[in-house]
Amino acid sequence: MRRGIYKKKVTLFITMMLLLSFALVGCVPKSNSSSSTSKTEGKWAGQKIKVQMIGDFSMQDKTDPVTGETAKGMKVVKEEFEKQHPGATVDFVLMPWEGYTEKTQAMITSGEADVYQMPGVADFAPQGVLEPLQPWIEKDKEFSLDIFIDNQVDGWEALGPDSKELDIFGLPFLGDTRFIAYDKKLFDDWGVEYPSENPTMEEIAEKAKQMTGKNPKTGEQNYGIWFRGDWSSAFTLVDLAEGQNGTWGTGFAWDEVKFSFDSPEMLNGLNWLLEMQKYAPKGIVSNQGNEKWLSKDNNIAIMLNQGPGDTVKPAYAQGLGDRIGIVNEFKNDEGRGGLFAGSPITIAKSSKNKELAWEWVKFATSDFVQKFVFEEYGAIPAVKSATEWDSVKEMPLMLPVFKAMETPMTPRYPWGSSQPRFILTSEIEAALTGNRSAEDALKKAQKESTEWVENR
Amino acid sequence: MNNTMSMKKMERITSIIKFLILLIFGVVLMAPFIWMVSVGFDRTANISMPFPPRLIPEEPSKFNYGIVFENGRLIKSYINSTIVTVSSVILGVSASLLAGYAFSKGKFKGKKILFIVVLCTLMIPMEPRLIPLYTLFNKMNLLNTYYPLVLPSIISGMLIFLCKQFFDQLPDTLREAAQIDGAGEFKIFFRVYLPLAGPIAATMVILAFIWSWNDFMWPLVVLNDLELQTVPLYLASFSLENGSSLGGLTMALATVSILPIVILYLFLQRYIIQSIALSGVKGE
Repeated sequence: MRRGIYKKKVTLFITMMLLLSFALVGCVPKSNSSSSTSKTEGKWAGQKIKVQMIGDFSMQDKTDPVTGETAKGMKVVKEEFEKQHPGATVDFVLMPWEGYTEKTQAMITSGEADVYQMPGVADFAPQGVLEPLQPWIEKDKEFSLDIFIDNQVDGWEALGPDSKELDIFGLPFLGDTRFIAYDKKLFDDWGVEYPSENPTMEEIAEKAKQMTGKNPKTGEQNYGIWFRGDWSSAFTLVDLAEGQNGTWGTGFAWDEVKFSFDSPEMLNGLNWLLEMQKYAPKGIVSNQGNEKWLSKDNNIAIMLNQGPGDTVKPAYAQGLGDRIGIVNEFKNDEGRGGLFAGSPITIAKSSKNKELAWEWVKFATSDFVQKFVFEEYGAIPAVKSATEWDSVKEMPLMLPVFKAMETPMTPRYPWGSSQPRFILTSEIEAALTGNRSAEDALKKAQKESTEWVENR
Repeated sequence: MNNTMSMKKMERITSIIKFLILLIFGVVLMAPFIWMVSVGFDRTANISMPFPPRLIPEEPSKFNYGIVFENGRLIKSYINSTIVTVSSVILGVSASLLAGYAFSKGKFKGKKILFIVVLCTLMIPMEPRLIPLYTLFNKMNLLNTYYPLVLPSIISGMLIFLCKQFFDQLPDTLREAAQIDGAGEFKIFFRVYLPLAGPIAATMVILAFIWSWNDFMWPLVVLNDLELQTVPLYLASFSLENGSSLGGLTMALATVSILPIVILYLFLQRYIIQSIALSGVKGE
């Protein structure tokens, strides 16, 4: 009798625990609050697309953490698209930068979305999961690639699963670039001429040297130059090589890639960085020493390899817009050089509504969306017409940014997000910290990167 | 008399020295936390981190905390994380206790092989399992729900292993005695072994809680709806493209996000230390 009661108690306990857990888990049903039901009227009736976007986008209005101004939510973009395409519905999957590659891979493998913002287009296109866009561009007479800033389309070209020729799988959605930024006040204090529009290594080195020491006006310790010794140092070095008409190597498909990490230009570039280290504050290898940059107490004259996101909006938010200057990175004799960056927009091969997805791609690259994401989120436009917008004219620093966007090395470095980048970065760090000579570091980077490509 | 006086004086001096040393250690340990809270209240820290570090903000403001709580997303993500974590802990710990007991005391065919299979799951990291698991839950139409976050945590190789090791230390004679008294397997487990498994159960609750609460990659992959976001996903939504973040906002986020863990720690301090000692595993 007692045994029977006990068994019942145990069974009841286990059942209750399981029910509680499943009740907790199930208390929020399969939900998609940003999704909408299909519409039944209009030219695009019943058609629905899902768009994945990466960054700090939000459906609701939110406060900009730098400027403190209210940024309108992406619901504005959704409403406008659905207004322009009666009957259509667009839903968003908004994701952070952290872990975007893994999430994108999972989503695209299972056909979760129709349109993707995809900085890693060169890695995804060979998998055959992306729709080639050239046929859509040719078919659509209303659309022209001329709307984009020069070089932006070329930069995102990639190899398809079977092709040996680069093809368009993504169109520029968010722009980005790298440039040299400088503090005009420090140049004035030291009586040094501002850098030229396309400076050489010698010019930058000379000016950095001149402005290292006690500021003649304030008496504060100033540093002539700063560059990041980790994370982006591989791109800084490659740009230095390009500035001497060198290159990182050749090829785009992995089986054709040949590195030149130990070339004379790369070696000269690394030796230059080692020399520049004398005019930089301590801590560049751990991304330190630049704490006062973009503050009124700034103590660094020249910043190498800067991006617009970290420079333009913060400069204006600090009231330093007029004090900061921007010039091109080092360019080769053809006027090209530096990292190509940004975010293209792509259509998934598995999309069931490709016509509507193409409409979204056009819409996302239209002035409406480009202007919206610039004004509300500070995202850099990729279209030429941006130079005419009032909001851009209010930020004169954007003009040299657009100039810099015209001349990076294209297509995007194929190794830019892969192991060779981290091998090279690590060896630059080894050289900067004195653990290896510049020559040994580059030889090691060359050997390890080549082996990695051969064994992949 | 004099001797006693000097002894007392010595003791007092020793106490003061001990107190001062501990105070220095205390300040050193607390300084980063205080600085974290302080930077969260610094309006200018989103543009450039205050350097050299200062305790009193240059422009004191609730601005960053306002952003953290904006649109109620943090509260929602707390609720979501709580639902997922509580469910994962209940199911994971219950299943692991039962499985650990079975592997330790049970006598059935293929026990060793099955246990090796369970151990093998410890050797496969999440990354290679990501796409197959995602595809599986997609086929089950369970993506964008809490189920993919909770169901895989029911079978935890680590927790089962810990449980088995614990039950191995308990004598088999307890089971045999209960069997002679006519108890069945469930009764033996619930009446005899479970009451003795308090320390390992507490350890497992803490480990499962910390794993589930801090899990980032898997929730990121399976959840699309912002309404379902857990706390780590909400925090990541403030990260920048180049891997950096805005100083003031990050510190405000860090302050509010560690609160549950701090509260948990205050209540379960003894068990947490014990759990690390028992398992050799720290919550990440």
